[in-house]
Amino acid sequence: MRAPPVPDASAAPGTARLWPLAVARIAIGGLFLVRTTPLAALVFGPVGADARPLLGWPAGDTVALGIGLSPLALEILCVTRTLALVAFALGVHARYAALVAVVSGYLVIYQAPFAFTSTQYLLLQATLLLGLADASTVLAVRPEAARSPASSRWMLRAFVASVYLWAAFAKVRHDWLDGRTLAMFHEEGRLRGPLADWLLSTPGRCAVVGPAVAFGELAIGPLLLYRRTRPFALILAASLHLGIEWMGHPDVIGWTMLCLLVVFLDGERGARRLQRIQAADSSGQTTSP
Amino acid sequence: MFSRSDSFRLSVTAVDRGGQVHLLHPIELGNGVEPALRTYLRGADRFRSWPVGPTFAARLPALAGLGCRNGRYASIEVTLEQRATLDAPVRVTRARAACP
Repeated sequence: MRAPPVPDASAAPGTARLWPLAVARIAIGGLFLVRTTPLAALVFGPVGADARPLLGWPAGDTVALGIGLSPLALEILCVTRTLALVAFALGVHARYAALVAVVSGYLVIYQAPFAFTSTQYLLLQATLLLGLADASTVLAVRPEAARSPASSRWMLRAFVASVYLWAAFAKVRHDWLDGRTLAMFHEEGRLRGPLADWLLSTPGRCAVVGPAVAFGELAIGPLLLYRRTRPFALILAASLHLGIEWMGHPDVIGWTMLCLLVVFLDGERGARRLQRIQAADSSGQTTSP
Repeated sequence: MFSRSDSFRLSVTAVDRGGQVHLLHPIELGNGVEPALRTYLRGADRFRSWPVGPTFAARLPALAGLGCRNGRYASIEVTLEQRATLDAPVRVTRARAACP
């Protein structure tokens, strides 16, 4: 992969600042690729057991109550999605690769609607938006020219903030806020382990954790968008996802959100640092970044 | 992200060629279906907080039709009970398939 084109930053203002989007593209593309291949079982354990040989691959001549694709068409779509995700993550015609991956990914989902998860939907949405945004101008095998760096950054940031807002809106209801939903998840074993046992062991604790999670998620979106509160919000969001991953394994949604949070990193500061390193290297100096 | 508390339950009745009514477990619709659907059918005889109630609701006639494939029954009726939250009333949807 080519290094970020820092020396060209003055010629294409804003391009070097897009490295967080490029990192998010690589991370989301890589995560989606792993989740839809046999690597998922190795990396994520039982969560990835359904990706053999590829996620959505037809299981013999079975009925899926989907859109009626033939097994051969489904196999072609699974392979197409995989190849497109490889190209997307590497940054080879990433925009077209993203579109191909998303179209084939949706068709696979529509064929097996009972295998559909909101995590897959989030991965498809993230792939589509990163493909449309200027996320392959740097850190790409074939970098593309930037079209609208500022709107690319803010589109992705607004998208990530909206995920927290929608998640919070879904929780602002009586049976979540009084803790009964969390108690049910704990009782069913969907949230388990020492942290879950401690947090959710009594109705009283559930009644505290329920509103804390709902209003925490409600706050994370705006806090991420406001520059001064962003570092705190990033820590809060990362803690939330790592905590949920520890207590339960809701597919790979936690890892997906952690990958997407990269779009909130300060691209300008990173670009300046890279520029200093590159300048020092070219003049034969040593430097400590 | 672990938000919803909606739940659903399936019950299945079949009428054989002699007119006798049989109560079936939902998994009896699951022969030859894809693995995820089979997993959900296996536990669908009790209220489950799995997020597929609306998916079943949209495909209830096709689901009932799956019961016809063994050739023993004249008709299959599937009843889906859904609750949107832990406090919501139960919403009942039925679909019936007349077997050829």
